[in-house]
Amino acid sequence: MKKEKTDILSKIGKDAGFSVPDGYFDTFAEDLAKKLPEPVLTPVQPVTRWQRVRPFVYMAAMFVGIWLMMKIFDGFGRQEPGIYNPEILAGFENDANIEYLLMRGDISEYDILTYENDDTAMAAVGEVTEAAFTTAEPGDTIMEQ
Amino acid sequence: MASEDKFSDEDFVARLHNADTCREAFTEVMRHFSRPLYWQIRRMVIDHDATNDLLQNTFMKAWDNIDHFRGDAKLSTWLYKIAVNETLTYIAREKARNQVPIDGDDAFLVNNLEADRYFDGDELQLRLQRAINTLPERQRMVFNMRYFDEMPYEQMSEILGTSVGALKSSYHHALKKIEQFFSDDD
Repeated sequence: MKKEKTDILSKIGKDAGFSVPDGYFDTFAEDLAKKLPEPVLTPVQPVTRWQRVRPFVYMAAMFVGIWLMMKIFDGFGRQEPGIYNPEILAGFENDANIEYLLMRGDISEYDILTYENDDTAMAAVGEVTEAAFTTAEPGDTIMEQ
Repeated sequence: MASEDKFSDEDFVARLHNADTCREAFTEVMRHFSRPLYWQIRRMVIDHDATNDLLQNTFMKAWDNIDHFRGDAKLSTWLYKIAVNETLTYIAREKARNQVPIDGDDAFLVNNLEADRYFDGDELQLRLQRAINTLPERQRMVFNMRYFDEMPYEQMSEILGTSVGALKSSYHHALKKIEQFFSDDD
């Protein structure tokens, strides 16, 4: 059935059976061209250098803005805690100092935990305390209280 | 296709926008596109005289708006769009004149086809026209563009503003309906 139906279109082909007057297409364009009114054209404005570079400038400004925003938000999240002050770090070697600082409220238990989990801070403490102890005189305190 | 592309390249668009060369350039456009546009319109409105008027209107509108054509789209697509709009407007007007409901089919367009001096088709071709004119306008347009002009779906999509998938589906349904028309007629 399907084959039979398709055969109908293939039997008819692409010719719809329409015709046009003799020479219709030969003269159509020229005949109509004579009837065309005067064209209304606006002069094309030359593209300035600023118009050419403007999209690139805007894109660069956008990236700079994004970069600045990232820097600002990053700064909010990473404030340098007082615990990284070398002198305070040095004091952490002495339990009595830690207790003193805790009492004064200069540091919290959270700071101590953060400090203990930070390898960089631990290394810094090692350097400071070593330097402090090698130059210390008898009776000196490592950290002023 | 390559010869069509020349009408959208920068040099040609510049000629169309130059007061000294635009008439000559536009005549080239008309020479090139009058035939395909004529047949696109003719298959929709059937009558030669109406087609001739609509084709002239199409080019007149293009000429009036040539300043707005910047070569972003293909010139052929732009011209086809104008022709399609002109054609659909004409059919809507004829429907109103013949008191055909707005959602009724366009069978009235082929009523006088047998007597038309510019139709020399046989019985089978006449029946095909009757079958095609039972289709909704958009579907008829899709069928004509695809079946007779073998226009790529992508170009049809640009002209009609419909997705390729929807056009394929529309063409498939049109084929089914035409086949059904013939089997009912037998």
